[in-house]
Amino acid sequence: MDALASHLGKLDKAEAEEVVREIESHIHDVIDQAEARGDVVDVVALLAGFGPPPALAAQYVAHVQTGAPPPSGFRVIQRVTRTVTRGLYYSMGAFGYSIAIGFLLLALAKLMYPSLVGAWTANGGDSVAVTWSGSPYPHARELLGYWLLPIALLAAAWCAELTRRVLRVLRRGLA
Amino acid sequence: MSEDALHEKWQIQLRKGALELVILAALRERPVYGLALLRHLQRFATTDIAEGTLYPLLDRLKREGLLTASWVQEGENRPRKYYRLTASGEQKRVALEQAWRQSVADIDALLAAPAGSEPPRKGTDND
Repeated sequence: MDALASHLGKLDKAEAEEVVREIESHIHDVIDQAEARGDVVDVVALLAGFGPPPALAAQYVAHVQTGAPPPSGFRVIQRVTRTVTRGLYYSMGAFGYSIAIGFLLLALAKLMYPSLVGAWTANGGDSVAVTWSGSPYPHARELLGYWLLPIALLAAAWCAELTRRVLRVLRRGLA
Repeated sequence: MSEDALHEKWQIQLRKGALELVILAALRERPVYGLALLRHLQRFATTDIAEGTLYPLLDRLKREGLLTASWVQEGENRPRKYYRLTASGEQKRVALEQAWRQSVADIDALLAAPAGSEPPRKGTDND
């Protein structure tokens, strides 16, 4: 199984583990059923039925190497990952994580300077501004108060998680 | 090449052409797990394949959306991966089965009438 797993590197970790798990399940089923009949299992013959691990693994990764059509619904992701460069990868990471850090800093600033940091509205709600230096408008009304803190923290966590998932997809397209 | 080797080569080609159809057909009524499917196919010489042929083929059919798979544990038994046909798989099965039956009918008609004799009627399933 280790030899097989080592040749499945072109698959996702989850896909490779699924392949190994299924083959192990088959082997256990054969052994269990033989024992139930009182037979002895020829393990060598059983394993020989799968062929050499490199040849078996090659059949599972052939679609990756030859560019066989992906399952329907994944064509857009395939187009994106095929042209991913390191510049795009790191740019997306910097962009996403910087927004997350911005939200985190907003939350910390609200904690430290509650009267200066907030979301203010004016003109009957026609404009909203998030500022770090007090109300930007005369007669402005603060919208969220201390609720800005958990909202900013949630937004930071959401941005960070979204960035992580996008980078994970893009990483597959890197050489 | 010896006659046995030629015959074996022909069998392999025939098996390659029919394998996808017989797998889809085997799953048309209920989900089946890998070992049970293998034993089912190994009942006949034409479809007597090895594990190393079956499982990658099942993986390909799943990636093509013709099958789905899920791990099921029955009672105290070890979990098994069961395969079932999708709607696309059922459509493909019907199409392949029609094509297969037409091919068999055509070949039967050609076997019945060598070249140069009365032109064979186009083969039908009702011949």
